[in-house]
Amino acid sequence: MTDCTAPLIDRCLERYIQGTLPESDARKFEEHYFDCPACLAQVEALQAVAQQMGSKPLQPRRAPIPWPVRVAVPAAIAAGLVLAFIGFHPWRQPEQQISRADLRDGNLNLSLDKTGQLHGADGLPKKDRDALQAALATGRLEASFPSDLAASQAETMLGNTAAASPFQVISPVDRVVSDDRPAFAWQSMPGATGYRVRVYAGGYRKVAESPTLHGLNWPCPVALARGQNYTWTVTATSSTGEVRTPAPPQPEAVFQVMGSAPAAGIESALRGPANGHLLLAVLYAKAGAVDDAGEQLDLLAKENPNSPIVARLKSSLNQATPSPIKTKAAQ
Amino acid sequence: MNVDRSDMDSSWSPEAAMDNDRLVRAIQDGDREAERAFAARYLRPVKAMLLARSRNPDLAADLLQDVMIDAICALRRGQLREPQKLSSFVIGIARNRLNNHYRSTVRQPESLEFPDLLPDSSSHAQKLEEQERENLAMNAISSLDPLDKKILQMTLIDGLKPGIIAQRLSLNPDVVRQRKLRATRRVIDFVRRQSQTESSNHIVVGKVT
Repeated sequence: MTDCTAPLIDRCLERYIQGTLPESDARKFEEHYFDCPACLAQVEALQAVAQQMGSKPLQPRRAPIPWPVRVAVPAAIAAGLVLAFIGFHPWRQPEQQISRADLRDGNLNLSLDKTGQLHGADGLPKKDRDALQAALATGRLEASFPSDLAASQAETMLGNTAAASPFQVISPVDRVVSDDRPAFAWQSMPGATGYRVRVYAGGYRKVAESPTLHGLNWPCPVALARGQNYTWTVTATSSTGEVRTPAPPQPEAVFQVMGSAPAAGIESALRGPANGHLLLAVLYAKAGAVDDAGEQLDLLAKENPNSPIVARLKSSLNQATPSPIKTKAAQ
Repeated sequence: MNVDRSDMDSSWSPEAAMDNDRLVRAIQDGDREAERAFAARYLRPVKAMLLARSRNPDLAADLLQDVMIDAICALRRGQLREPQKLSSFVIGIARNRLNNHYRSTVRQPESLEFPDLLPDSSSHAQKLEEQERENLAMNAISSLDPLDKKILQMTLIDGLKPGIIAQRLSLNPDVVRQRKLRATRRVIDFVRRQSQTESSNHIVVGKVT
């Protein structure tokens, strides 16, 4: 797709067009494509496609708030607080409770009252209700990222550094995946005529191998055993020979297939009546699938724009998420 | 996702830095051709940036000329101390213009004489090019499998992530990721390939044989 060999362009491009790329990354991406005709052409092409597809304009990426609004909103909040102070008499309406958190979540209307009790999730199993209550009460998602995956980020392969590859793997890298047949994606290598993916279990036992591929992704056709770590490599063939990535001194591309128990719990939640994103986020995070948890929180945020509790949950997840592995080619 | 600046540095080169240096000095010295070269180089990326950030093609077109004028006036004044940061300089001006637009619709009068030889972004040729890109984009979209089209629409227009799309379409998230990746590549390749074909055709037609 691209003539540009800079890493992460594919990911940046799509999210940039969506307007979901973080501001700091958007700035870096802009600085890049301003001087990279290949990436600029891709931005323009995808913008044209998005414009043709979109019947309605999207919201601006980050519209600064006009000053009248900046003044009016705090004033309105202050006025509201004064009115609430003057008008609030708990002895008049003892049946009403002030909610600490209100969320619309799929088929549920969740709320946490001032005593910390969860309402609106009566049909769920107790363990799920407890998990939701804990998340709403603390504003945190309990993310249990596997320690062996986190440790792998610091490791580098031994070997001849001159053999480092000019292209990189994209995903899955340093992540827990929920699907036991994950899809592998990698960057293109200039001049490559084909690629071959190899997946290894512990002890470098090969468990899957692709035929020669001409695209840049491959859905694994065999189910990988759950709860295990795997490493994978891509070997590109060109007229000058074969090049493998990752190669020393890059770290190995490691991922873990989610264990059977958490996967079953998530499957059950997906089929359950709640269809709630917060519960899925909690379960994904607990299983270490932080990317999937983030996606669920994004959906929750769409249902609850400007919700402070969702923002706090996202923040806690981001803090618990290790940065993606840097698979730059060795210099 | 965190992106290191070094991840994006593949286009930087000492030669490009020298070009920037010459261009900036020439504009500071009043060279109008250099101004035209500057505008020709930055019109497209600035427009793409304004469109990406405003999501409003009309606003992006309106602000484009303002950004170019601001940038050239600032370069004439010698406000860029480090020519190797020319692109960052232009990006900053574009961002400020956009922010100012949102803050107020009142435009400030410009004290300097405006550059008068800039390429006109609303020229007939430019409009034709945009129309051609729109047609290509429509063709690219219609060439997609209906499910791929749906996934791409949910991604680009609704801003949904694969896990959410998978839930709504009752698909495996990785299947969605793969189909989205494939659809994105296909439409970009289609638009780019056809654009290049059209461009090369134009060159051939224009030549006297």
